[in-house]
Amino acid sequence: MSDNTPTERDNKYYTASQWQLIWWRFLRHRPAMTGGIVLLMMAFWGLFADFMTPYSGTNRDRDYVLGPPQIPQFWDHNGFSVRPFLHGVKTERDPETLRKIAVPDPETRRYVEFFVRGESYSFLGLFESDRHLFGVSEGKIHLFGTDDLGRDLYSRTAFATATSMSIGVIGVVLSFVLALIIGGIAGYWGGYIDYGIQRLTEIVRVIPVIPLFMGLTAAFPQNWTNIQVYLAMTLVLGLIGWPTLARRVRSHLLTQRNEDYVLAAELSGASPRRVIGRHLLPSFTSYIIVDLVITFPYVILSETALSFIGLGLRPPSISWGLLLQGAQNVRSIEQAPWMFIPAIFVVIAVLAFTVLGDGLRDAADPYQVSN
Amino acid sequence: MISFVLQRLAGLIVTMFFVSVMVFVIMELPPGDYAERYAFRKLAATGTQVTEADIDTLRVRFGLDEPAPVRYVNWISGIVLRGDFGQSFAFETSVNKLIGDRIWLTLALLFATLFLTYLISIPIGIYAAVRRQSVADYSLTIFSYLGLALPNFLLALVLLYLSVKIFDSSIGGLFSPAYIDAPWCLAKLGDLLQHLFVPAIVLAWSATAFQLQTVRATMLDELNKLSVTAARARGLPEWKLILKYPARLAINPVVSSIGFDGNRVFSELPIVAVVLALPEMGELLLKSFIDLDTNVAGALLLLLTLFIVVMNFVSDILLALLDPRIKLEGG
Amino acid sequence: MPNIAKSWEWNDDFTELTFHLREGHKWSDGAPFTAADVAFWYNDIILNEEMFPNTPGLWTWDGEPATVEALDDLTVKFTLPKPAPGLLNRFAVGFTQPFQPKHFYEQFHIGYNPDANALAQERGMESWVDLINLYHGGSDWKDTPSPLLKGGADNVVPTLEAFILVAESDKGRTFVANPYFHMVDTAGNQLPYINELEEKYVPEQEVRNLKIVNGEVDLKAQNLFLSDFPLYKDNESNGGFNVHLTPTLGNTLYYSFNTTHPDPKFADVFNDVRFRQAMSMAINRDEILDLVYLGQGRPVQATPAEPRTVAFVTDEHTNAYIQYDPEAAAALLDEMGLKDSDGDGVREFADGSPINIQHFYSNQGGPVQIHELVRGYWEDVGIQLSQREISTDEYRTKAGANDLLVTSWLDRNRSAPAISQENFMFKPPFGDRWQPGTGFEWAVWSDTDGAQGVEPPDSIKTLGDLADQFLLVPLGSEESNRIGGEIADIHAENLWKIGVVGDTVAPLVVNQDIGNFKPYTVSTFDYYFAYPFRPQQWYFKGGN
Repeated sequence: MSDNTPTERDNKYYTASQWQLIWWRFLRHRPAMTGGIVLLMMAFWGLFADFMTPYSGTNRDRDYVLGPPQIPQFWDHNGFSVRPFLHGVKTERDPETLRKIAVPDPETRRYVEFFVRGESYSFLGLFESDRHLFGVSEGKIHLFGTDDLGRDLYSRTAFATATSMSIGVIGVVLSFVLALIIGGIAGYWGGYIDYGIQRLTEIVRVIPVIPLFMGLTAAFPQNWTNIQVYLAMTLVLGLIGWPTLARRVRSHLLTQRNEDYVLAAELSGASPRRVIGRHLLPSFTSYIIVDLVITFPYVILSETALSFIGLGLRPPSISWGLLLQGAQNVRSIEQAPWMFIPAIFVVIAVLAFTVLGDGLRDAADPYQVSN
Repeated sequence: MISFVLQRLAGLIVTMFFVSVMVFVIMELPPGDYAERYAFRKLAATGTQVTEADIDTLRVRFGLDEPAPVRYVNWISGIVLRGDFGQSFAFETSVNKLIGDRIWLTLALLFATLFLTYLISIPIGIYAAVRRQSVADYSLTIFSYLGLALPNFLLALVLLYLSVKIFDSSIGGLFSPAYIDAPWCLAKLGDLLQHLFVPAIVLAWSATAFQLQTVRATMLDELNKLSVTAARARGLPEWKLILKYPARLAINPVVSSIGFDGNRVFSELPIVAVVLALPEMGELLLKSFIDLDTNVAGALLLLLTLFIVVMNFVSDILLALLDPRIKLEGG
Repeated sequence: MPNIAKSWEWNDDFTELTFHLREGHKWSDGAPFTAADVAFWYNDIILNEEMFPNTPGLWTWDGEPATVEALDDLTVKFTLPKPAPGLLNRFAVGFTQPFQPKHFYEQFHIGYNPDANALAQERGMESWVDLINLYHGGSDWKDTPSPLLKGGADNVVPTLEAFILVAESDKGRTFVANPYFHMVDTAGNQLPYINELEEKYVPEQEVRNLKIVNGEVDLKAQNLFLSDFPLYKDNESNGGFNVHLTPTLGNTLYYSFNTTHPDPKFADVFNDVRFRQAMSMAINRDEILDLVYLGQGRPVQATPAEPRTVAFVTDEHTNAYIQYDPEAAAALLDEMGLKDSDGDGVREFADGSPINIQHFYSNQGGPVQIHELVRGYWEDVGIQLSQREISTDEYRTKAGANDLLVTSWLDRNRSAPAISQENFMFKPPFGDRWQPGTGFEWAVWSDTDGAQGVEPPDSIKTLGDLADQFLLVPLGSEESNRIGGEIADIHAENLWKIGVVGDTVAPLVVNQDIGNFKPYTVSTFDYYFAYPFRPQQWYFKGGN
């Protein structure tokens, strides 16, 4: 670049809005960028799970029960093939251990095909389709192996990703709204209201979280359908983050409230709601976003924990917690380690959210020297 | 200082009062009560038909017929005045007896976990800050985050499996069979520590992820301070310098979050305990809650919360002692 | 509790049963075991109105108690109000103990110790009933919390069993050999050989599995899952144990629609036999057998008696409506007028609301994977199931309150010894509180002579009469088979219970070091799971 670039760059820098600055800093934060992209990809995969997966989450393959992952290959002893293929399998029951064993037959090839027709599904209720991203010419393909009922783990993981991530998003949004309302009231009015709300948040913070949730989920009417349980779960999980967030909101409001511009707004007749929403909140939005991103992993992990102890979602819903519950046994550790593949997705999602949160925090910090 | 402690103590009592109300409400949430369970479990077993009147009789016997506020007052006054947590319906014995030694094992687990957490996170956090952006820094960060990201129930079983396969240790519980009823001695303590290892690691790993990052971040801030530069200029050896100024301050946020760590340990404990079959309070809490054995579940939840509140109290006082900058009348 | 009586005899019409006891037989504390202990159990415990305000139905006949007299020290006579040829079987396979140590309980019983109430109050209890229940448990059942667990017990209750319970906590219990046990081996050595047994409660199934795989377990049979069999088999030599497969009786999982549910919308549909037939044919039993039972067993329909133990249940009964035929099932549902008019894949009731059946289940009631599979099969024919796993206690509470739309449990209590003395499997509610079936309100109707409940259809009334006749004739007689056959016919026509897979197997893990161990020949609730169970003969190879 030429010599005059710095001044141009400086100009751009000085005239940039707060958001642009944050965005620029964020772009330079490589781990956070990676985390963000990974999350977007997972969200995309989950959202289009019906299309991305060869089978529905409950489809069973009796010829491949508790079978290991099948990896498409390009060559075998019969030579090379441009199209990836799998070997056909023959399934027999071992007379000694009674286990079903799928023996690959090296002479048969099943080619991987794309945009195949399969089970029909309705995409978000918008349109019907039976196209799937991939499949095999004959038999079935199980990229991540199958569980004890012969269900495809790859497909199940994709559907679980959709469920668990959406619970995370809704849960976080809910806790955000709660925190804004409660923290906003406490911070703006102060006094007795503040004291009361402070005590309340303190109490909610000292009671161990999981027992608290147990109490709440146990109170769900038992004849709720899965959809109702799903919605209620998000609500309960939304309750996880608000005390921390509400404290944050409150302390920010307390410091900002005495600033001149707030006084000016109040003098010109703005209602409290307008003062909070229009003037106070924007002053620390960046912090709140960071807090939200950091809350995500907790919501997701709480979902897995609750589903694990049977107080959360239940079949036929598919979530990370439920998949891990199915993997949680000695048999899987010893004989079917691929049942733990969903755990990798949980780890990746939590890590991605964490580094994304870190990156956003750095980017939003106005005192951080731009390097 | 004394007025500060007294003030905090008063706050503790107020908080505990509200917590007890909250715990009582949580116990009221699930539908049904133990009288129904008992009726069908016990009476029906002998072939007699259960009528609504039988259930009402049982309610009277269990004291479940009173309105909720009366039951709350009975419950809480028993605890406060006589230290009596009432009767367990399911075990047909007093709650105090049932909880008895579980308290100590729970506290042992808690302290083992916290000890492990601080033992790992403080030195490593300081180290990572000093070696900022080195390979060691990054790998330590990623490793600690793994503990946060892996669902702990999963970790528990896998670690248990590995400890059995690799170290051939005996499984589950907190004692080997030989020591369960043995009087306390050094060998028994050693045995306990061996069994505490897996659960403590599981619980400590995720807590470590936090504390490590907190210590690291505070250290980074403190390392840039003028006092450090000045000390360095005076020619103090590097390690002495780090220990003398920034490291001492980096511990403060850790101390302030002792209660928070306790909360997290207790939250994860029931699930880990179920997986590992540990005879501690969280596991019993889960069981009795599902069984509607409300006196037991309520007592456990109350005690666990009390521990956390006390830990908060201790951390406040420690912090005041450690860091003179904190105003004693602070809020 | 076998081998307690030396001999017995019936009178001709099965109303008088006389037992002869052994001379010199002793309780575990050395006190003599006499006919008075039997009489004490019945007259002073079962019939005592303070202990049992309602006399347990198990020990009355049409509400009439029996007379139990100790004729002399070694002879005790039961006089029954009506013939009960199956009573012996109840004593033989039941796990209630029809005798109690009188010399022990006397000190707490108001009838023998006038100061019993004072004694109870001394220990902080209200009356002598509480005190005696501390030891007795308030029921004949032996798995009630033992006095040791409840605390305050300084006495060990004398027993006739091979082992005495001496310590118990919520972590496990310890037994020691009974020095006065009534058996010796052929060389005259006092049995049992093993001095101490320790039973440990390991609440988590996977920790249990890990202990088994690691060889820390000497014997485990109950609550092992067939799906873990491959795991056990692979670790046999590693862990130093053998895993056996024991044939089961009455482990057929069934589904039963609640025909007398308070919601008429459901009750009407469930009462239509076509609905039950359709639901039965919608189940792919071969797949369940293959995926859940490792191919061990066979598809069967639910029958009122276990076909391998009685002659009157035929293949016709066990094969009724078990072929997998979703089209036929769908056709039957269409015929009933349950159509899916809005095209969402779920059929609707006449009022247009979707048929969504709430199904609660407990993991004690059979392999839970089956429920997941069945949910899918029924959904395929347009019947939606919302499922939720709850604890066994909760399940039974709901069943007792007639709150379940569909029950599912293992079809126990149907083997010959069980049905010879109890007929609750034949008539509503087709089970007891432990394994509820359907038609609770029908049962109430006949129990109250029509005063309460719901009037059952004629087939049920016939069934009730047949069931009562069945108990009056000795099992296996021609008359018994005729009545049984009619009962089985009515069951097969009506499918009040829909069976899934029968003749399954159950794993049994035994330490290789236990000598003299014979694998159980049958695993069934009816014989309390372990049969033959002879711990007195076991010993540890290489000395303890």
